Amino acid sequence: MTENSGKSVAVLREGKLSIKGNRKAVLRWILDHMVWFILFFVLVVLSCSIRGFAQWGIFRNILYHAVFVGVLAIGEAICIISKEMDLSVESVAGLAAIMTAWLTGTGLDASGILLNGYLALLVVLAMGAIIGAFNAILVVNYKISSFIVTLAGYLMFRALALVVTNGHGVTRLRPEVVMVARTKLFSIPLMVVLLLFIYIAFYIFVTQTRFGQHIYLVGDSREASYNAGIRIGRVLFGVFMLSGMLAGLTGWLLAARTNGAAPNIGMGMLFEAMAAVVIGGVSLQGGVGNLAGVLAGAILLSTIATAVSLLGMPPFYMNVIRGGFIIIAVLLDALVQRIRPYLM
Amino acid sequence: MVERKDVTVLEPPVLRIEHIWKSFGKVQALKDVSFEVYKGDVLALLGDNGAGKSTLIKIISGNYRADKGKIYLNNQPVSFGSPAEARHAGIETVYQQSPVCLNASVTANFFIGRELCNGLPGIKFLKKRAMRQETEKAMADIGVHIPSVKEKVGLLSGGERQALILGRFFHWGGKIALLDEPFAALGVGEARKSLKLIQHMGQQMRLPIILITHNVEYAFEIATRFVVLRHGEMVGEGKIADVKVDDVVAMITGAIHVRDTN
Amino acid sequence: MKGKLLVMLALVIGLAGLLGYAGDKGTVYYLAPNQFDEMQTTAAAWIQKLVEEVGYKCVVMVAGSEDVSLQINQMEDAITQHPAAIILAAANADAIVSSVEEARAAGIPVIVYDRVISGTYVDFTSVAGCKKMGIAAGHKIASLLKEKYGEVRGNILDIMGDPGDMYTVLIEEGFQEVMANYPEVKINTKIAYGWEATTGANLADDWLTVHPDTDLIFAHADHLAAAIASVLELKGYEKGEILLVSTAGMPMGLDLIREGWCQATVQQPVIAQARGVAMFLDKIVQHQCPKPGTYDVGGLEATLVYQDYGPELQIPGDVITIDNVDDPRWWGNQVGK
Repeated sequence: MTENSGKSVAVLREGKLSIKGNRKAVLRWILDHMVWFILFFVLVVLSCSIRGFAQWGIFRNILYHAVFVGVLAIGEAICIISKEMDLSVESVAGLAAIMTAWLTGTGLDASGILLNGYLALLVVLAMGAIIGAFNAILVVNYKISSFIVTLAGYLMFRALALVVTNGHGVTRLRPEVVMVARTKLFSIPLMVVLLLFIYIAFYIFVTQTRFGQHIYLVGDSREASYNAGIRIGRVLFGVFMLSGMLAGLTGWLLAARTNGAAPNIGMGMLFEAMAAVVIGGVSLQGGVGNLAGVLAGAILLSTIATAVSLLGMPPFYMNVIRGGFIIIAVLLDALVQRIRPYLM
Repeated sequence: MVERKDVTVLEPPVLRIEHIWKSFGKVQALKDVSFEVYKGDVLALLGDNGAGKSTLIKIISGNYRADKGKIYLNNQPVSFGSPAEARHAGIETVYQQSPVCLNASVTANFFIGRELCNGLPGIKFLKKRAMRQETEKAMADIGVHIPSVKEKVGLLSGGERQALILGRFFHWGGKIALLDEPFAALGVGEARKSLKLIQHMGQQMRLPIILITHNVEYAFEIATRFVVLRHGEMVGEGKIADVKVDDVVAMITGAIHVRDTN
Repeated sequence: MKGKLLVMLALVIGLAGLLGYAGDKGTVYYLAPNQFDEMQTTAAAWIQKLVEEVGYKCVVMVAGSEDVSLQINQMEDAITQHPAAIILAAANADAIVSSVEEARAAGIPVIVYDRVISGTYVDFTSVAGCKKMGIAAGHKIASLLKEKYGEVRGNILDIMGDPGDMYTVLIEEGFQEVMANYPEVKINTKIAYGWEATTGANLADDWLTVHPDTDLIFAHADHLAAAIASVLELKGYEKGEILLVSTAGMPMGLDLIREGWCQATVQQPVIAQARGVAMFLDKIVQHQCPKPGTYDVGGLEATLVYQDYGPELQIPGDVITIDNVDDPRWWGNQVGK
């Protein structure tokens, strides 16, 4: 079809085949949102096969449990779309959780400051932004690979929090923090509403704003972006700072959820966030990815966790299945990429 | 400067190269090269490997600095320290592998770095529809049919990508485009489309283009004028209409020296 | 591609079917904090076994490795299934409180296994009393030092487990409480984060290199003690030259005592605690209050008392030494038999 002359393609397009064109558009849309169909399929299968699975309570839980990885994955996704990597998100979230607990907690090893929970949120958001800026300085100004910079951050930041609390967790936070985890709006947990709101906001941000567009372009081709006068450094600063802030928010939400912060809070979330990003169809090549897919990826991961829990399977099965889904997602994506040109 | 009795225009040349010399150590890459490019010219820069074509291109596009000589853009002397400066001044080289954002749409690539936005303070929303329409119009103007401007550039053919880059370049006020072996990576069908496009841009739209190619046949189809380099020296220059292919090939290989014979 | 997906899902369905059998009296969930050491695996296996013996189906949910957030998720998932009861060994006692309250509000009795939740009322608690184990360890250590010097003095290297785990924190509390009576004893406390055996071994190795005058090492779990014993062996110490005391009573701990590297371990009555849960399970499911008093739980004398947070069955933690190491009552002697 590439050998068709421009004219005949145009004729094909304008002429009799418009219905087929629509069908192709539908097919294309399905391919682009494959992960949602996988999620739907998995939910149907689990609902049919596990007694007590098909109920609002379970679906609500699945959404609720997807909140933390979901929020963290947004930051990771925009980093990867810009062809960078942020391995520090998990530790920043852990640091933020422990900071939140330290600032607002009444338990042992708390600061005793008893800061208002929303002020604590501002503190951890600012902290996330500063850490993001720190990562960006090393990546942009010192030209160190973001993999290495953020690997160092991964090791450092959680440990920093433990320095403050002598290696202990802090529990029993101020009520306004804990309430966020326990409030429901019409039987939907507030945090789920928050998750959807954040996704919609970031979806609009990356698809409808100039900065969002530049994240994709910078990730796609540094050279083309540079030639076009896009200030790549500034874009990367924005990306890392957003990632840091989202990690800070995740930490605050985790602290609210667990009414405190254990030293291992959020441990392993980096890989879950990565998994959500990859299952969601974000390419490590940069410049490709859809946040809606990432949300589906996060929900898919929490679906698997819920199913494994309900079945009483040992938790390592959870990661066996999740790993399987990553492979399936990537293979499917490769397949889609091969089919895609025929659907132009 | 070379006399040009055949052109009687008042417009100054878009690009004027005067007495360019360049050596790399003991190797003299360019010796006293001078020529001009006017609006409506498609200038074919011909020559064998090592004749000095790419050195000249790199000097014009800011990769190298000439040892001696001057470059004038619209009669203003210019000197570029980097390709970015040259690009900024309106000179761009289109390579076979010119960088584009393969996963972004045609529109996004067309407007890259120059997106139309609603000027909200702090956050700038894209005017997607306006950008799409403008891209469609611009591409139609240069005679390129792209299935959809929403499609990703990675799915376009090599020729369509070149068209996009060229169209974008002139749309945003590019003054002169240097096309470095534009047909090399293309199949026969694509090359034909590309030839048409360059002809359309050069002759109908009067956009100045320097075409660097090995392929003398193609150059004869679309160029208006030619310059032949051999061992860093200009060995021939003139209107395509005035010469035969064989003569030019002879100049390239060193059988005739136009300047001497004329 | 789809085919493979189906195969995998079929696998999931198959497992679901396998576990689909329900006991007559309904399902009981056991929420374990981890499955990384023999104590936890033994606890899970015996709870399942004993609960099923009294006629319930038992599903074990494991919170990864002490993942508080995951355990809250699992609690919420369990509640949606309206089980007969939930048995809980909390990854973090404060964090789980609201979920416990949610379960009880839904009419599901919550039984606490091993890790006390004092922040809310629960229907039953079955504990070893980690603090009591710490106290027992403290007394044993004092007597070991007295044996050596005629009076209680010396240098102790105290290696705690992960500070996020209340088990080690409570043992430390009990231990420090006893040692406070002996000002002549110098205690240096180190932490083996994540209960890492290698970390524990390295801590001991470094410490002994700098402080060869150390008299005794108190490791908060047997697997740490095992790693430390191999360090002692490697450094050329004789058995008993540096005293080693531990807790938990894992099979490997008992072996260390038999070999002579370890002088004592304070066993946690893991199986007896599970037995205690099973003994009272019917009553609790029917929302009856168990009577206070002493009970015979698998040969151990347990006490049921009422705390602020509900009825608590306390099972003593015995000190195991070379003299009684082969007693069949110890859970370390029952595992794998």
